[in-house]
Parts: sequence; structure tokens; C-alpha cells
Amino acid sequence: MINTKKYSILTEDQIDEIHARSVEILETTGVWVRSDQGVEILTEAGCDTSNPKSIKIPAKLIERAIQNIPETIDVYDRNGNPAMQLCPENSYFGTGADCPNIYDLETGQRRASLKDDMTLLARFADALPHMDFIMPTFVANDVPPEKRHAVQYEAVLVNSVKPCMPGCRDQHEAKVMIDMAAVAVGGYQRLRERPILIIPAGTLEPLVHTEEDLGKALTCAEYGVPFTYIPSGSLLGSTAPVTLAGALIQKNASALAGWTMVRLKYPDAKILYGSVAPAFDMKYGTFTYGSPEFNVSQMAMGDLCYHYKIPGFGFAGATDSKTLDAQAGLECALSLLLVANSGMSLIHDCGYLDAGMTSSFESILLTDEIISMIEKILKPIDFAEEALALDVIKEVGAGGSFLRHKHTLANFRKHLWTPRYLFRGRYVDWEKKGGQEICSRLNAEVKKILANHVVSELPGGMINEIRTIIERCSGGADHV
Amino acid sequence: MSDILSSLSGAIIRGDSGVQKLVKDALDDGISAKIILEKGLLAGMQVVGKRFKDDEMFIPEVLQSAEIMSEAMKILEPIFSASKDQKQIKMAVGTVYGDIHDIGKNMVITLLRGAGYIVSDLGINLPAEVFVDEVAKGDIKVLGLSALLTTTAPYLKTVIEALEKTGVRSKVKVIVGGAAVTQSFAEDIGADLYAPDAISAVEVVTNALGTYRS
Repeated sequence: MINTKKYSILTEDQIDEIHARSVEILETTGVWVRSDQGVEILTEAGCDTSNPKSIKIPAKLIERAIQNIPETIDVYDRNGNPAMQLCPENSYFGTGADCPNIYDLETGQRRASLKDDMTLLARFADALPHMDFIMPTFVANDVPPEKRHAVQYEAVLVNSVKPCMPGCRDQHEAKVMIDMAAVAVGGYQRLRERPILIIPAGTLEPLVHTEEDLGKALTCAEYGVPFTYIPSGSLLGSTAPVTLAGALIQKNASALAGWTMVRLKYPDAKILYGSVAPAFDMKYGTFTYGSPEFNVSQMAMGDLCYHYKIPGFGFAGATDSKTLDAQAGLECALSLLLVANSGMSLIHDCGYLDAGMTSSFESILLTDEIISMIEKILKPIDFAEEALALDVIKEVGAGGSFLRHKHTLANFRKHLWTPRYLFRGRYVDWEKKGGQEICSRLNAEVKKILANHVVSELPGGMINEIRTIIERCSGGADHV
Repeated sequence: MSDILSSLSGAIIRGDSGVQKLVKDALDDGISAKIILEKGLLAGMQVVGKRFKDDEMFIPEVLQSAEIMSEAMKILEPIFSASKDQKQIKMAVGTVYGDIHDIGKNMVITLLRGAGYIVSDLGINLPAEVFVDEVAKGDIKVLGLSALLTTTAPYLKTVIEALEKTGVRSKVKVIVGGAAVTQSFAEDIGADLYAPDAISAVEVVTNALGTYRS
């Protein structure tokens, strides 16, 4: 976890402009509410819902919706211990979800991911000191589609105590995840008091609120489970205006409409804001995880999180590069540093390669190392008496060495950052150790971690109950 | 003649909406619709294609050129349909049931029209019956199916099976695409063609058909 003072990029005036224009859009253009539940909520609140494609939301409803939003959301691990205190000052990190490909640990080849990869991933992420939560990274391609999300969450529940953000398609799948979590902690009331999961939801198309996503949000709110309701899919120049200011306004409007609908029914809903507006690559038409716009848009949204006093969901530790190479190192490190310092609290996608189409244990491990370094970078400099080292400077005198001084001996472990996986020795030392580049070295470390880590077990009875819930997941005619 | 033809290509490359007037002028000068299309308009689109490959032009500019191409084609279409031996090839493209994503589909349609084909936009979230009905009409040579999500991609197979069951599968070449679709998935489900993106879709379709004309 990183607790830091934030570097702002938006001025107060710009934030006010974004908010005012968002309200203007909601009052004049309105939102498309493809959800009976959403339409019902807005009708009851007095909105004209005769044309669901353009439901205008008046400013006074929006102003009410942004009052007293829960500024801090507490999330727990499977054993009931506090795991994350989500708020703009605190940054937590986790893996990304739904990569259909993996770089095989043994062969180094890229292949479709399987259920076993997901099981191993959960155990691995459980071991990493800087992964605070887990998103199910690997798609269980060998599991039928209607059971996949549940099986992927099961892998995390059984193999890790850490909180999880399980992907789910709609409110029915969200309820499945909530049911599974309730089994693991001993009931729905317990889950409400100490939630162990956060469900991702939001708008995929700008200003369009679907039954699937609004349903997810309302179900979570009903059970006291935290969720994100973020305006996703804002590709600059494709699904959002190509200029960032416009994209921020559009996204903010989408989010405000969502909060309004959810909080009208559940004022205590534990909502997260956030999201990202990356460049739409104008050559390949791709979502760019490494673009400067990816980072800058989140820094701006972090400012909005501080403004609305709401925790934010961020994206970092990811790359467009196909392999774990220099481009990957650059893009992962840059986004982690900038987003950690932005005001986003729940930061995911660590270890994403290939814009999220592939991931690997090695890339996730590298992001764990990067986060460790960033923690050191963002930590305020210690100016306590001991750190001033006045007596030490006087004792050593002009031109002396500090290496053998007891002050160095007593403080070096605490004050100097040491890499676990980055090599800083001389060339001959590197040759002596095998002369390997970082990906190979990380591979060996991954295997060591997997061999040594012991997971806190879930009682067999609970595992069986969870399996029963999964067995009931069926596609049905409407799950095409 | 070559001046008029290079003005036409230039208008396409620049995405200049004055192209319709240039087409009318060319027709008035006695240049045939075939020459206008091949040596003027399509020649311009070929330059656009090359510049895109060389990273000199980008998607918004390519789409603009393709739009202008469609504008120009509106003038020539009646001439082609009246002609006995030169018909433009017809296609239809739609996004399958459960999926409402259409940006990629729209790009494909614009670019195919820019290549001289007549393309119907069937829309989004379409059940198999819509595609079957369209193919059964007998007009189209290519059917394009789009699915963005891993959860909707399986429906591509449903559509192809429906075409087989109703006995119309052989009437069309089926091309599939979308972010969730791969070459091997396309082969597994019995599609004829696959393209990873909108720009290469035009190349794939044109290679499969030979030319823009039947």
C-alpha cells in the first residue's frame, strides 16, 4: 500500500468546468438507460423517462447524488482481517483480469490459458507482498463459458486469502460471486460487514447504462458489497472525443448518472469512481495501455476522485508490448508511478502484456518489484533526529568514510531500497551468475515462490458448497 | 483525360467532397464509368492504402477517403446497374445477436464501399434469421459477421449453421471478424474468410472475389 500526497494536474477551475459541463450534458442530452430497473428509479425520482434513449437528469438530483458519498471503503481478506482502506490517499495494487493467453512457465511459448493456470495464479499472487488484491488473470478456456467466471473466482477463493475483483457478466453472475463469497466468510451479514470482494461494473459505451451493469451495481448495493461504476471504453477519437478535456466531461457525465441511479435506491452504496481514457491507436485501432494519454487521463480522474471524495479504480503496470522487453518495462513502470501518485486507490492490470490479451507470472513479478521501488520513491524523506545524522557527520569529519560507522550499520536496511530481482552488480558478477536477462531470472524466481508458498486453506465443507453454486451456473437461452 | 483522372484520384486521397462534381465533369467529357472508377477513384484509394501501410495516413483520414469514394460511387451506381455486363458486387454486414458493438463493423462497411462494393448495413444484435433472410434473397455475394466479445463470438457459429440448415450456405462467402475472433476460430466454425481488422478485410474480400465487379 502506498499512502501519498498527490500531484495534481487539473486546476480548481478545470474541475468545476468538468462538473458543470457534465451536468449540462445530463440535463440536455441525457443518458440512454437500457435497464428497466434504472428507468423505474428515475421515473420515481420525477424524471421524464418516456424516451429511454435520452433520459434527462436534472441538476438537483445530481447534486444530491454527490453529497456524502462513502469516502472510505474497507475491504477485508478471507480471514476477516482488514486488507484495504480504499480512499484517494491510499494506493493498492492488483493483477488484471481475463487474459486469454499466457507465456508458459516451462516452454516460454505463448498459448491459450487454462483453469490450472488460474489456480496457480491465485497461489502466486497470494504470495506477492505488493499485490493487495487479485483479479482473475487467466481465462479458463477449458471450462464451458457459462461457468467460466465462477470457476475463475473459485480459484481465487480457494487458493488465496486476498480480496478479489471477480468479473461477471450481469446481476445473475454477480449474485453467484456474492453467494460464493458469503460461503467463504460465513454468511451474507458477515460479508456486508467485512466484504472480501469488489465487483467491476460501469458503462461500456458512453452515456449508455445497461441492465447488465446497472443490475450488477444494484445487486452489490443490496448486499453491501463494494463495486466500481466506471465510465469505461473511452478511446480518444473512437468512443470518446479525441481531446482529453472532452473525454473527461463525457466520462464524468456517465459516472454521475450511474451514481445518481444507484444512490437514489441505495444511499449507502459503496461505489468506486475511476477509469482511463487512452489514445485509440490511429494505425491499428487498438486500446493503448502504454500511451501518455493512458496515464494523464488517470491523473486527471484522480483529481476528480479527490474533488468528489470518492475512491477511484485505476489501471497500471500494463503494456502494449507483446513480450516482457524494454517497452514493457518502460510502460509498466511509468504507469505504476504516475497512477500511484494520482489519487486512484484500487489499481489493477499489473502484469498485463499485449494490451491485456496475454499475461505471465514473470511480468506480474516484475510489477511487484516496481511497486516496491515506487513505494520507496513516494515515501516522504525522513527528517527525524536520527536521519539528520549531525553527530555522525561531525564524528566522521572531513573526507572520512561512513561505511564502518554504527549509524550506517543500524540504518542501512531500513533506509536503502534493495532490489529482489533487478541486478546492480558489475559485469563480471553478472556473467558469473549466468549472464541472464531479466525475464529468465524472473522465471526462476517465480518457480521458487510457487514451490515455497503455503496458502491458508479453506475448509473442505465450504469448498463443496462453493462447487455446488458453480454447478448451478447454466447458460440458458438468453446467455448467448 | 489523364488530368481529369488524376484530379479524381487527388480528391479521393485528400478526402475532398468536390469529387461528385469531378465525376459529373468526367462523364460529360465522355469518359466511361468503368475508367472513372478504375483509373480515377480506385487508383486514389490504392494510394491511400499504400500511404496507410507506410504510416503516412491514419484511420480517420482513410475513413474520410472511403466516405468520399462512396459519394462518388452514388453517381456511378445507376450506370453500373443499368449495364448488362458490369454489375457491382453486393454484400451485407451485421453484428450478431447479443452484441451491440458496431464501430469495427461500420469501418468495414465504409471501407468496402470505398472499394466499390454495394454494402448493406444490417445493424447490430441480429438473430440468425436476419442473416438467413438476407442471403436467401440471392443478391449478395459476401456476408460479413461481426462479434466483439468472447461471449458473443460463439453466435457466429450459430449463424453459419443456420445458413447450412436452410440450404443457402453456398450462396455466399462468409467473412467473420471482431476482437474476439481469430483465424483458427474462423476456420473451426466454418467461415470462408477472416480478417483481423477493417483495413485488411477489404484486401481479403477483394482477393477472394477477384474484382469489384461480378
